[in-house]
Amino acid sequence: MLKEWIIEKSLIVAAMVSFVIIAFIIMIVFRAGVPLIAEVGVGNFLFGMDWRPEREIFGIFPMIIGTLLVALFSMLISVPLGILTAIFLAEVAPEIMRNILRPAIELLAGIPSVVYGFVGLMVLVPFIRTHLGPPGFSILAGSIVLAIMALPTIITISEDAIKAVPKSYKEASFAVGATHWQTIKNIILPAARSGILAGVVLGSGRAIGETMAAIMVLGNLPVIPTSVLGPIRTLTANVAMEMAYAPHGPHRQALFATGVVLFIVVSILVVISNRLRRGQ
Amino acid sequence: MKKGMWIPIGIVVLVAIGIGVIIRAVAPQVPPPPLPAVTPQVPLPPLPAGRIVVGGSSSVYVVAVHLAERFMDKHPGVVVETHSVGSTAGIVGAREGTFHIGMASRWLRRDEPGWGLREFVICHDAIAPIVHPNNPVRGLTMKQLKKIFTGEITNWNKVGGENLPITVIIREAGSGTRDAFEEIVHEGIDPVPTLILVGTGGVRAGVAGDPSSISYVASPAVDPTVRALEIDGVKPDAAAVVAGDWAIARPFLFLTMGELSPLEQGFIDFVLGSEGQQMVADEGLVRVD
Repeated sequence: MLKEWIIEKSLIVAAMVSFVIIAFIIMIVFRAGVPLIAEVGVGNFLFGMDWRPEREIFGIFPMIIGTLLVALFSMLISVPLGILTAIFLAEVAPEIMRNILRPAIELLAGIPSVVYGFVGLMVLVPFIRTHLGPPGFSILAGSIVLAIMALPTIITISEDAIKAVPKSYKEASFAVGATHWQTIKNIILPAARSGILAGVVLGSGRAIGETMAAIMVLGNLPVIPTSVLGPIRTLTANVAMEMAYAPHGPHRQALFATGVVLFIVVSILVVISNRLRRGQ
Repeated sequence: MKKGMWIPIGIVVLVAIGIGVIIRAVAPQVPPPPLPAVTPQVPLPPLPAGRIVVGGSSSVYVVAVHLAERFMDKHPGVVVETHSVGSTAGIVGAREGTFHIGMASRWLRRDEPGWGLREFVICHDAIAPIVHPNNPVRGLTMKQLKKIFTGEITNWNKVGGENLPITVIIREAGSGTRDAFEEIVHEGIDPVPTLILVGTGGVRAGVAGDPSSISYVASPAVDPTVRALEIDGVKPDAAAVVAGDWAIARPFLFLTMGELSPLEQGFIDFVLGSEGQQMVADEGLVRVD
Protein backbone atom coordinates (compact mmCIF):
# COMPACT_ATOMS: atom_id res chain seq x y z
CA MET A 1 0.00 0.00 0.00
CA LEU A 2 2.78 2.35 0.92
CA LYS A 3 4.48 1.63 -2.38
CA GLU A 4 1.27 2.44 -4.27
CA TRP A 5 0.98 5.64 -2.33
CA ILE A 6 4.57 6.69 -3.05
CA ILE A 7 4.25 6.00 -6.76
CA GLU A 8 0.94 7.82 -7.03
CA LYS A 9 2.25 10.91 -5.27
CA SER A 10 5.48 11.02 -7.23
CA LEU A 11 3.44 11.01 -10.42
CA ILE A 12 1.52 14.01 -9.14
CA VAL A 13 4.75 15.74 -8.21
CA ALA A 14 6.21 15.06 -11.65
CA ALA A 15 3.15 16.50 -13.34
CA MET A 16 3.13 19.51 -11.04
CA VAL A 17 6.80 20.22 -11.73
CA SER A 18 6.21 20.67 -15.43
CA PHE A 19 3.17 22.80 -14.68
CA VAL A 20 5.14 25.02 -12.31
CA ILE A 21 7.98 25.38 -14.83
CA ILE A 22 5.58 26.51 -17.53
CA ALA A 23 3.80 28.91 -15.19
CA PHE A 24 7.18 30.25 -14.15
CA ILE A 25 8.33 30.86 -17.75
CA ILE A 26 5.06 32.55 -18.68
CA MET A 27 5.31 34.82 -15.65
CA ILE A 28 8.90 35.83 -16.34
CA VAL A 29 8.25 36.59 -20.00
CA PHE A 30 5.06 38.53 -19.38
CA ARG A 31 6.43 40.46 -16.41
CA ALA A 32 9.43 41.56 -18.38
CA GLY A 33 7.61 42.25 -21.64
CA VAL A 34 4.16 43.59 -20.88
CA PRO A 35 5.26 46.85 -19.16
CA LEU A 36 7.11 47.89 -22.31
CA ILE A 37 4.14 47.15 -24.54
CA ALA A 38 2.02 49.24 -22.20
CA GLU A 39 4.56 52.05 -22.23
CA VAL A 40 5.07 52.10 -26.00
CA GLY A 41 1.37 51.46 -26.63
CA VAL A 42 -0.08 48.24 -28.01
CA GLY A 43 -0.76 49.84 -31.39
CA ASN A 44 2.71 51.37 -31.71
CA PHE A 45 4.38 48.14 -30.71
CA LEU A 46 2.34 45.75 -32.85
CA PHE A 47 1.92 48.02 -35.86
CA GLY A 48 5.07 50.16 -35.68
CA MET A 49 7.13 49.94 -38.85
CA ASP A 50 10.51 50.86 -37.36
CA TRP A 51 12.74 48.74 -35.17
CA ARG A 52 15.62 50.92 -33.99
CA PRO A 53 16.53 49.71 -30.52
CA GLU A 54 19.46 52.17 -30.29
CA ARG A 55 16.91 55.00 -30.48
CA GLU A 56 14.34 53.18 -28.39
CA ILE A 57 11.91 52.87 -31.29
CA PHE A 58 10.26 49.48 -31.03
CA GLY A 59 7.83 48.49 -33.79
CA ILE A 60 7.53 44.83 -34.67
CA PHE A 61 4.96 44.89 -37.47
CA PRO A 62 7.45 43.95 -40.23
CA MET A 63 8.55 40.99 -38.11
CA ILE A 64 4.97 39.82 -37.49
CA ILE A 65 4.38 40.00 -41.23
CA GLY A 66 7.69 38.26 -41.83
CA THR A 67 6.89 35.46 -39.42
CA LEU A 68 3.45 34.90 -40.94
CA LEU A 69 4.73 35.08 -44.54
CA VAL A 70 7.49 32.57 -43.91
CA ALA A 71 5.05 30.25 -42.14
CA LEU A 72 2.54 30.60 -44.97
CA PHE A 73 5.01 29.95 -47.78
CA SER A 74 6.63 27.05 -45.99
CA MET A 75 3.19 25.51 -45.49
CA LEU A 76 2.42 25.97 -49.19
CA ILE A 77 5.41 23.75 -49.86
CA SER A 78 5.22 21.26 -47.02
CA VAL A 79 1.46 20.61 -46.75
CA PRO A 80 0.91 19.07 -50.22
CA LEU A 81 4.22 17.21 -49.98
CA GLY A 82 3.52 16.01 -46.45
CA ILE A 83 -0.05 14.85 -47.00
CA LEU A 84 0.79 13.04 -50.23
CA THR A 85 3.70 11.32 -48.50
CA ALA A 86 1.43 10.34 -45.61
CA ILE A 87 -1.14 8.84 -48.01
CA PHE A 88 1.62 6.98 -49.79
CA LEU A 89 3.03 5.58 -46.55
CA ALA A 90 -0.32 4.59 -45.10
CA GLU A 91 -2.10 3.29 -48.18
CA VAL A 92 0.12 2.69 -51.17
CA ALA A 93 3.70 1.93 -50.21
CA PRO A 94 4.83 -1.68 -50.21
CA GLU A 95 6.13 -2.97 -46.91
CA ILE A 96 9.81 -2.67 -47.88
CA MET A 97 9.57 0.98 -48.94
CA ARG A 98 7.64 1.83 -45.83
CA ASN A 99 10.39 0.27 -43.71
CA ILE A 100 12.98 2.47 -45.40
CA LEU A 101 10.96 5.68 -45.65
CA ARG A 102 9.58 5.85 -42.15
CA PRO A 103 12.95 5.75 -40.32
CA ALA A 104 14.29 8.24 -42.86
CA ILE A 105 11.49 10.67 -42.04
CA GLU A 106 12.05 10.16 -38.33
CA LEU A 107 15.73 10.93 -38.90
CA LEU A 108 14.71 14.12 -40.67
CA ALA A 109 12.98 15.20 -37.46
CA GLY A 110 16.10 14.48 -35.43
CA ILE A 111 18.54 16.60 -37.42
CA PRO A 112 19.45 19.75 -35.46
CA SER A 113 18.17 23.01 -36.93
CA VAL A 114 21.67 24.53 -37.37
CA VAL A 115 22.40 21.78 -39.85
CA TYR A 116 19.34 22.71 -41.91
CA GLY A 117 20.32 26.35 -41.64
CA PHE A 118 23.87 25.62 -42.69
CA VAL A 119 22.83 23.59 -45.72
CA GLY A 120 20.42 26.38 -46.61
CA LEU A 121 23.18 28.96 -46.25
CA MET A 122 25.70 27.01 -48.30
CA VAL A 123 23.42 25.59 -51.01
CA LEU A 124 20.08 27.40 -51.23
CA VAL A 125 21.20 30.98 -50.67
CA PRO A 126 23.91 30.96 -53.38
CA PHE A 127 21.56 29.08 -55.73
CA ILE A 128 18.80 31.65 -55.33
CA ARG A 129 21.24 34.54 -55.67
CA THR A 130 22.74 33.31 -58.92
CA HIS A 131 19.61 31.90 -60.58
CA LEU A 132 16.77 34.08 -59.31
CA GLY A 133 18.46 37.26 -58.18
CA PRO A 134 20.30 38.79 -55.21
CA PRO A 135 20.67 38.85 -52.29
CA GLY A 136 19.82 35.14 -51.93
CA PHE A 137 19.02 35.50 -48.24
CA SER A 138 15.28 35.56 -48.72
CA ILE A 139 11.78 34.50 -47.77
CA LEU A 140 12.06 31.82 -50.44
CA ALA A 141 15.21 30.32 -48.93
CA GLY A 142 13.71 30.43 -45.45
CA SER A 143 10.40 28.95 -46.57
CA ILE A 144 12.08 26.00 -48.26
CA VAL A 145 14.28 25.25 -45.25
CA LEU A 146 11.39 25.56 -42.79
CA ALA A 147 9.13 23.50 -45.05
CA ILE A 148 11.61 20.63 -44.93
CA MET A 149 11.82 21.00 -41.16
CA ALA A 150 8.03 20.89 -40.80
CA LEU A 151 7.62 17.83 -43.04
CA PRO A 152 8.21 15.09 -40.42
CA THR A 153 5.53 16.58 -38.13
CA ILE A 154 2.98 16.79 -40.91
CA ILE A 155 3.76 13.34 -42.31
CA THR A 156 3.71 11.42 -39.03
CA ILE A 157 0.55 13.03 -37.64
CA SER A 158 -1.29 12.76 -40.97
CA GLU A 159 -0.25 9.15 -41.37
CA ASP A 160 -1.53 8.32 -37.89
CA ALA A 161 -4.83 10.04 -38.73
CA ILE A 162 -5.19 8.10 -41.97
CA LYS A 163 -4.43 4.81 -40.24
CA ALA A 164 -6.99 5.58 -37.55
CA VAL A 165 -9.82 5.57 -40.10
CA PRO A 166 -11.84 2.37 -39.32
CA LYS A 167 -11.12 -0.46 -41.70
CA SER A 168 -14.85 -1.00 -42.22
CA TYR A 169 -15.13 2.35 -44.08
CA LYS A 170 -12.56 1.23 -46.57
CA GLU A 171 -14.12 -2.20 -47.00
CA ALA A 172 -17.56 -0.69 -47.51
CA SER A 173 -16.17 1.62 -50.17
CA PHE A 174 -14.51 -1.27 -52.00
CA ALA A 175 -17.73 -3.28 -51.68
CA VAL A 176 -19.71 -0.70 -53.65
CA GLY A 177 -17.09 -0.82 -56.40
CA ALA A 178 -14.92 2.23 -55.70
CA THR A 179 -11.30 2.11 -56.83
CA HIS A 180 -8.45 2.51 -54.35
CA TRP A 181 -7.87 6.17 -55.32
CA GLN A 182 -11.59 6.95 -55.16
CA THR A 183 -11.66 5.40 -51.71
CA ILE A 184 -8.66 7.47 -50.55
CA LYS A 185 -10.05 10.67 -51.99
CA ASN A 186 -13.69 10.35 -50.99
CA ILE A 187 -13.67 8.22 -47.87
CA ILE A 188 -10.33 8.10 -46.10
CA LEU A 189 -9.17 11.70 -46.47
CA PRO A 190 -12.48 13.24 -45.35
CA ALA A 191 -12.59 10.86 -42.39
CA ALA A 192 -9.02 11.73 -41.41
CA ARG A 193 -9.47 15.44 -42.02
CA SER A 194 -9.28 16.70 -38.46
CA GLY A 195 -6.12 14.74 -37.70
CA ILE A 196 -4.45 15.94 -40.88
CA LEU A 197 -5.33 19.54 -40.10
CA ALA A 198 -3.91 19.13 -36.61
CA GLY A 199 -0.65 17.99 -38.19
CA VAL A 200 -0.63 20.99 -40.49
CA VAL A 201 -1.19 23.41 -37.63
CA LEU A 202 1.56 21.80 -35.53
CA GLY A 203 3.86 21.92 -38.54
CA SER A 204 3.24 25.62 -38.97
CA GLY A 205 3.98 26.02 -35.27
CA ARG A 206 7.34 24.45 -35.95
CA ALA A 207 7.92 26.89 -38.82
CA ILE A 208 6.99 29.88 -36.66
CA GLY A 209 9.05 28.77 -33.69
CA GLU A 210 12.19 27.86 -35.58
CA THR A 211 15.01 30.29 -34.86
CA MET A 212 18.49 29.18 -35.77
CA ALA A 213 17.81 28.12 -39.36
CA ALA A 214 15.70 31.25 -39.87
CA ILE A 215 18.50 33.58 -38.76
CA MET A 216 20.97 31.84 -41.05
CA VAL A 217 19.03 32.15 -44.32
CA LEU A 218 16.47 34.95 -43.95
CA GLY A 219 18.75 38.02 -44.03
CA ASN A 220 17.12 39.46 -40.87
CA LEU A 221 16.14 42.86 -42.23
CA PRO A 222 13.18 44.19 -40.24
CA VAL A 223 11.25 45.64 -43.18
CA ILE A 224 8.18 44.44 -45.07
CA PRO A 225 9.47 42.73 -48.22
CA THR A 226 8.34 43.50 -51.74
CA SER A 227 9.12 40.06 -53.15
CA VAL A 228 9.78 36.50 -52.02
CA LEU A 229 13.40 37.12 -52.97
CA GLY A 230 13.73 39.82 -50.32
CA PRO A 231 15.05 39.34 -46.78
CA ILE A 232 12.84 39.36 -43.71
CA ARG A 233 13.26 39.05 -39.95
CA THR A 234 11.11 36.72 -37.84
CA LEU A 235 10.04 37.33 -34.25
CA THR A 236 12.20 34.50 -32.95
CA ALA A 237 15.24 35.77 -34.87
CA ASN A 238 14.74 39.21 -33.37
CA VAL A 239 14.99 37.87 -29.83
CA ALA A 240 17.90 35.54 -30.52
CA MET A 241 20.00 38.08 -32.43
CA GLU A 242 19.88 40.94 -29.98
CA MET A 243 19.57 39.25 -26.59
CA ALA A 244 23.31 39.25 -25.94
CA TYR A 245 23.55 43.02 -26.46
CA ALA A 246 20.62 43.97 -24.30
CA PRO A 247 21.60 43.20 -20.70
CA HIS A 248 18.97 45.53 -19.26
CA GLY A 249 16.73 48.47 -20.00
CA PRO A 250 14.00 49.00 -22.60
CA HIS A 251 15.78 47.05 -25.35
CA ARG A 252 15.73 43.87 -23.27
CA GLN A 253 12.10 44.50 -22.30
CA ALA A 254 11.25 44.95 -25.97
CA LEU A 255 12.79 41.57 -26.75
CA PHE A 256 10.71 39.97 -24.00
CA ALA A 257 7.68 41.78 -25.43
CA THR A 258 8.50 40.17 -28.79
CA GLY A 259 8.45 36.88 -26.89
CA VAL A 260 5.00 37.71 -25.50
CA VAL A 261 3.62 38.23 -29.01
CA LEU A 262 5.24 35.02 -30.20
CA PHE A 263 3.86 33.15 -27.20
CA ILE A 264 0.34 34.32 -27.94
CA VAL A 265 0.58 33.37 -31.64
CA VAL A 266 1.90 29.88 -30.87
CA SER A 267 -0.68 29.33 -28.08
CA ILE A 268 -3.48 30.11 -30.50
CA LEU A 269 -2.05 27.57 -32.93
CA VAL A 270 -1.77 24.88 -30.24
CA VAL A 271 -5.35 25.46 -29.11
CA ILE A 272 -6.59 25.22 -32.71
CA SER A 273 -4.58 22.05 -33.21
CA ASN A 274 -5.98 20.40 -30.08
CA ARG A 275 -9.55 21.29 -31.05
CA LEU A 276 -9.02 19.82 -34.51
CA ARG A 277 -7.46 16.67 -33.18
CA ARG A 278 -10.36 16.06 -30.86
CA GLY A 279 -12.55 16.36 -33.95
CA GLN A 280 -13.98 19.79 -33.14
CA MET B 1 -7.00 11.71 6.79
CA LYS B 2 -8.83 10.78 3.64
CA LYS B 3 -6.69 9.52 0.82
CA GLY B 4 -7.94 12.12 -1.66
CA MET B 5 -6.94 14.96 0.63
CA TRP B 6 -3.27 14.58 -0.21
CA ILE B 7 -3.71 15.74 -3.76
CA PRO B 8 -5.02 19.25 -3.04
CA ILE B 9 -2.52 19.59 -0.20
CA GLY B 10 0.30 18.59 -2.53
CA ILE B 11 -0.86 21.07 -5.14
CA VAL B 12 -1.06 23.86 -2.59
CA VAL B 13 2.43 23.14 -1.30
CA LEU B 14 3.89 22.99 -4.80
CA VAL B 15 2.18 26.16 -5.94
CA ALA B 16 3.46 27.88 -2.80
CA ILE B 17 6.99 26.70 -3.57
CA GLY B 18 6.53 27.74 -7.17
CA ILE B 19 5.40 31.22 -6.21
CA GLY B 20 8.35 31.55 -3.86
CA VAL B 21 10.73 30.54 -6.62
CA ILE B 22 9.07 32.91 -9.07
CA ILE B 23 9.23 35.85 -6.69
CA ARG B 24 12.90 35.23 -5.96
CA ALA B 25 13.74 34.82 -9.62
CA VAL B 26 11.70 37.77 -10.75
CA ALA B 27 13.14 40.11 -8.16
CA PRO B 28 16.34 40.84 -10.14
CA GLN B 29 14.11 41.93 -13.03
CA VAL B 30 13.67 45.24 -11.26
CA PRO B 31 15.52 47.86 -13.34
CA PRO B 32 19.23 47.61 -12.60
CA PRO B 33 20.84 50.29 -10.48
CA PRO B 34 22.27 53.22 -12.41
CA LEU B 35 25.76 52.64 -13.75
CA PRO B 36 28.41 53.12 -11.09
CA ALA B 37 29.92 55.91 -13.16
CA VAL B 38 27.36 58.50 -12.18
CA THR B 39 26.76 57.73 -8.53
CA PRO B 40 29.93 57.68 -6.46
CA GLN B 41 31.19 61.21 -6.01
CA VAL B 42 33.44 60.21 -3.15
CA PRO B 43 36.88 58.94 -4.22
CA LEU B 44 37.91 55.54 -2.96
CA PRO B 45 39.88 55.44 0.26
CA PRO B 46 43.65 55.16 -0.22
CA LEU B 47 44.64 51.91 -1.94
CA PRO B 48 44.49 48.92 0.33
CA ALA B 49 47.75 47.10 -0.19
CA GLY B 50 47.67 44.76 -3.17
CA ARG B 51 44.32 45.64 -4.75
CA ILE B 52 43.40 47.69 -7.82
CA VAL B 53 40.02 48.13 -9.44
CA VAL B 54 39.86 48.33 -13.25
CA GLY B 55 36.58 49.05 -15.04
CA GLY B 56 35.02 50.33 -18.27
CA SER B 57 34.56 49.26 -21.89
CA SER B 58 33.19 45.78 -22.41
CA SER B 59 35.43 45.35 -25.46
CA VAL B 60 38.57 46.11 -23.49
CA TYR B 61 37.28 44.02 -20.61
CA VAL B 62 37.63 40.87 -22.70
CA VAL B 63 41.41 41.41 -22.94
CA ALA B 64 41.80 43.01 -19.54
CA VAL B 65 40.48 39.91 -17.77
CA HIS B 66 43.27 37.80 -19.27
CA LEU B 67 45.86 40.47 -18.58
CA ALA B 68 44.71 40.76 -14.97
CA GLU B 69 44.81 36.98 -14.48
CA ARG B 70 48.35 36.73 -15.80
CA PHE B 71 49.42 39.71 -13.69
CA MET B 72 47.95 38.14 -10.56
CA ASP B 73 49.69 34.85 -11.35
CA LYS B 74 53.00 36.67 -11.47
CA HIS B 75 52.41 38.68 -8.31
CA PRO B 76 50.88 36.58 -5.54
CA GLY B 77 48.94 38.67 -3.09
CA VAL B 78 47.94 41.22 -5.71
CA VAL B 79 44.28 41.43 -6.69
CA VAL B 80 43.17 43.14 -9.93
CA GLU B 81 39.40 43.48 -10.07
CA THR B 82 37.88 43.99 -13.54
CA HIS B 83 34.44 45.38 -14.28
CA SER B 84 32.60 45.62 -17.60
CA VAL B 85 30.43 48.74 -17.53
CA GLY B 86 31.02 50.51 -20.86
CA SER B 87 33.51 53.11 -22.10
CA THR B 88 31.75 56.20 -20.84
CA ALA B 89 31.32 54.70 -17.40
CA GLY B 90 35.00 53.75 -17.45
CA ILE B 91 36.08 57.29 -18.29
CA VAL B 92 33.83 58.90 -15.69
CA GLY B 93 34.79 56.22 -13.17
CA ALA B 94 38.50 56.93 -13.64
CA ARG B 95 37.87 60.63 -13.13
CA GLU B 96 35.84 60.17 -9.98
CA GLY B 97 37.98 57.49 -8.41
CA THR B 98 35.51 54.63 -8.74
CA PHE B 99 38.19 52.86 -10.73
CA HIS B 100 41.91 53.11 -10.21
CA ILE B 101 42.19 52.43 -13.93
CA GLY B 102 39.35 53.20 -16.34
CA MET B 103 38.99 51.41 -19.68
CA ALA B 104 37.65 52.89 -22.93
CA SER B 105 37.44 51.61 -26.51
CA ARG B 106 37.30 55.07 -28.07
CA TRP B 107 39.26 58.30 -27.94
CA LEU B 108 38.20 60.80 -25.31
CA ARG B 109 35.58 63.29 -26.48
CA ARG B 110 36.43 66.96 -26.65
CA ASP B 111 35.33 67.90 -23.18
CA GLU B 112 36.82 64.88 -21.49
CA PRO B 113 40.62 65.46 -21.70
CA GLY B 114 40.22 68.64 -19.71
CA TRP B 115 39.46 66.52 -16.69
CA GLY B 116 43.16 65.76 -16.27
CA LEU B 117 42.94 62.08 -17.15
CA ARG B 118 46.13 60.36 -18.20
CA GLU B 119 45.71 58.15 -21.28
CA PHE B 120 47.58 54.93 -21.95
CA VAL B 121 46.87 53.39 -25.36
CA ILE B 122 47.23 49.67 -24.71
CA CYS B 123 46.40 48.54 -28.25
CA HIS B 124 44.35 49.39 -31.34
CA ASP B 125 41.44 47.65 -32.94
CA ALA B 126 41.07 48.42 -36.65
CA ILE B 127 37.76 47.94 -38.43
CA ALA B 128 38.24 46.96 -42.09
CA PRO B 129 35.60 47.34 -44.84
CA ILE B 130 35.49 44.04 -46.71
CA VAL B 131 34.27 42.94 -50.16
CA HIS B 132 34.26 39.73 -52.19
CA PRO B 133 37.77 38.79 -53.46
CA ASN B 134 36.56 39.01 -57.08
CA ASN B 135 35.26 42.56 -56.71
CA PRO B 136 37.37 44.77 -59.02
CA VAL B 137 36.99 47.74 -56.69
CA ARG B 138 40.22 48.02 -54.68
CA GLY B 139 39.47 51.07 -52.67
CA LEU B 140 36.95 53.79 -51.84
CA THR B 141 37.00 57.24 -50.38
CA MET B 142 35.60 57.76 -46.94
CA LYS B 143 32.75 59.71 -48.49
CA GLN B 144 31.87 56.88 -50.88
CA LEU B 145 31.98 54.41 -48.00
CA LYS B 146 29.53 56.54 -46.05
CA LYS B 147 27.23 56.92 -49.07
CA ILE B 148 27.20 53.16 -49.66
CA PHE B 149 26.25 52.37 -46.07
CA THR B 150 23.64 55.11 -45.87
CA GLY B 151 21.92 54.15 -49.12
CA GLU B 152 23.03 57.04 -51.35
CA ILE B 153 25.18 54.87 -53.62
CA THR B 154 23.46 51.61 -54.50
CA ASN B 155 25.45 50.34 -57.49
CA TRP B 156 29.09 49.35 -57.80
CA ASN B 157 29.36 51.18 -61.15
CA LYS B 158 29.15 54.50 -59.28
CA VAL B 159 32.45 53.74 -57.57
CA GLY B 160 34.34 52.23 -60.48
CA GLY B 161 33.02 48.70 -60.30
CA GLU B 162 30.72 46.56 -62.41
CA ASN B 163 27.05 47.34 -62.99
CA LEU B 164 25.88 45.41 -59.92
CA PRO B 165 23.51 46.49 -57.15
CA ILE B 166 25.44 46.68 -53.86
CA THR B 167 24.48 44.23 -51.13
CA VAL B 168 25.12 46.18 -47.94
CA ILE B 169 25.61 43.76 -45.05
CA ILE B 170 25.73 45.13 -41.51
CA ARG B 171 25.96 43.65 -38.01
CA GLU B 172 23.07 43.25 -35.59
CA ALA B 173 22.00 46.16 -33.38
CA GLY B 174 24.19 46.53 -30.31
CA SER B 175 27.33 45.15 -31.90
CA GLY B 176 30.36 47.13 -30.72
CA THR B 177 31.93 46.92 -34.16
CA ARG B 178 28.77 48.33 -35.71
CA ASP B 179 28.60 51.13 -33.13
CA ALA B 180 32.20 52.13 -33.75
CA PHE B 181 31.90 51.89 -37.54
CA GLU B 182 28.73 53.97 -37.66
CA GLU B 183 30.13 56.51 -35.26
CA ILE B 184 33.19 57.06 -37.45
CA VAL B 185 31.74 56.58 -40.94
CA HIS B 186 28.04 57.50 -40.87
CA GLU B 187 28.15 60.97 -39.34
CA GLY B 188 24.85 60.44 -37.62
CA ILE B 189 22.92 58.99 -40.55
CA ASP B 190 21.09 55.69 -40.09
CA PRO B 191 22.34 52.70 -42.10
CA VAL B 192 20.33 51.43 -45.07
CA PRO B 193 21.31 47.76 -45.14
CA THR B 194 20.31 45.01 -47.54
CA LEU B 195 21.01 42.29 -44.99
CA ILE B 196 21.69 42.06 -41.29
CA LEU B 197 23.85 39.10 -40.36
CA VAL B 198 24.97 37.95 -36.95
CA GLY B 199 28.53 38.08 -35.68
CA THR B 200 31.88 38.67 -37.33
CA GLY B 201 31.81 35.18 -38.82
CA GLY B 202 28.30 35.72 -40.14
CA VAL B 203 29.04 38.90 -42.09
CA ARG B 204 32.34 37.50 -43.34
CA ALA B 205 30.59 34.38 -44.67
CA GLY B 206 27.93 36.61 -46.22
CA VAL B 207 30.54 38.70 -48.04
CA ALA B 208 32.54 35.62 -49.06
CA GLY B 209 29.46 34.22 -50.76
CA ASP B 210 28.21 37.32 -52.58
CA PRO B 211 30.33 39.10 -55.26
CA SER B 212 28.25 42.27 -54.90
CA SER B 213 28.45 42.65 -51.14
CA ILE B 214 30.25 44.94 -48.71
CA SER B 215 30.54 44.80 -44.94
CA TYR B 216 33.06 45.42 -42.14
CA VAL B 217 34.93 43.35 -39.59
CA ALA B 218 37.78 43.89 -37.13
CA SER B 219 40.94 43.67 -39.24
CA PRO B 220 42.30 40.54 -37.53
CA ALA B 221 39.20 38.78 -38.85
CA VAL B 222 40.05 39.48 -42.51
CA ASP B 223 40.96 36.16 -44.15
CA PRO B 224 41.45 35.00 -47.77
CA THR B 225 37.70 34.49 -48.29
CA VAL B 226 37.23 38.28 -48.35
CA ARG B 227 39.30 41.32 -49.31
CA ALA B 228 39.84 44.43 -47.21
CA LEU B 229 39.25 47.70 -49.07
CA GLU B 230 41.66 50.61 -49.06
CA ILE B 231 40.06 53.81 -47.86
CA ASP B 232 41.52 57.04 -49.26
CA GLY B 233 44.47 54.96 -50.44
CA VAL B 234 45.30 53.49 -47.05
CA LYS B 235 45.35 49.77 -46.28
CA PRO B 236 43.85 48.70 -42.96
CA ASP B 237 47.00 47.22 -41.44
CA ALA B 238 48.77 47.58 -38.14
CA ALA B 239 51.21 50.20 -39.39
CA ALA B 240 48.48 52.47 -40.73
CA VAL B 241 46.59 52.21 -37.49
CA VAL B 242 49.62 53.05 -35.37
CA ALA B 243 50.45 55.98 -37.66
CA GLY B 244 46.91 57.27 -37.29
CA ASP B 245 46.28 57.02 -41.07
CA TRP B 246 43.50 54.50 -40.71
CA ALA B 247 40.45 56.41 -39.59
CA ILE B 248 38.13 53.48 -38.85
CA ALA B 249 40.10 52.37 -35.84
CA ARG B 250 39.50 52.60 -32.19
CA PRO B 251 42.06 52.56 -29.45
CA PHE B 252 41.75 50.57 -26.30
CA LEU B 253 42.63 53.00 -23.52
CA PHE B 254 43.60 52.74 -19.89
CA LEU B 255 42.84 55.96 -18.05
CA THR B 256 44.18 57.14 -14.72
CA MET B 257 43.75 60.21 -12.54
CA GLY B 258 46.58 61.77 -10.58
CA GLU B 259 49.71 60.05 -9.32
CA LEU B 260 50.05 56.36 -10.09
CA SER B 261 50.45 54.03 -7.16
CA PRO B 262 53.22 51.45 -7.50
CA LEU B 263 50.62 48.78 -8.13
CA GLU B 264 48.83 50.70 -10.89
CA GLN B 265 52.17 51.54 -12.44
CA GLY B 266 53.14 47.88 -12.22
CA PHE B 267 49.97 46.69 -13.98
CA ILE B 268 50.25 49.30 -16.74
CA ASP B 269 53.93 48.49 -17.24
CA PHE B 270 53.01 44.82 -17.53
CA VAL B 271 50.30 45.51 -20.11
CA LEU B 272 52.56 47.76 -22.18
CA GLY B 273 55.54 45.42 -21.77
CA SER B 274 56.42 42.66 -24.20
CA GLU B 275 54.47 39.93 -22.43
CA GLY B 276 51.29 42.00 -22.13
CA GLN B 277 51.58 43.18 -25.72
CA GLN B 278 52.08 39.61 -26.91
CA MET B 279 48.83 38.64 -25.13
CA VAL B 280 47.10 41.60 -26.75
CA ALA B 281 48.38 40.59 -30.19
CA ASP B 282 47.25 37.00 -29.53
CA GLU B 283 43.75 38.38 -29.05
CA GLY B 284 43.93 39.73 -32.61
CA LEU B 285 44.56 43.36 -31.74
CA VAL B 286 47.20 45.80 -32.94
CA ARG B 287 50.06 46.01 -30.43
CA VAL B 288 51.52 49.40 -29.66
CA ASP B 289 55.12 48.58 -28.72
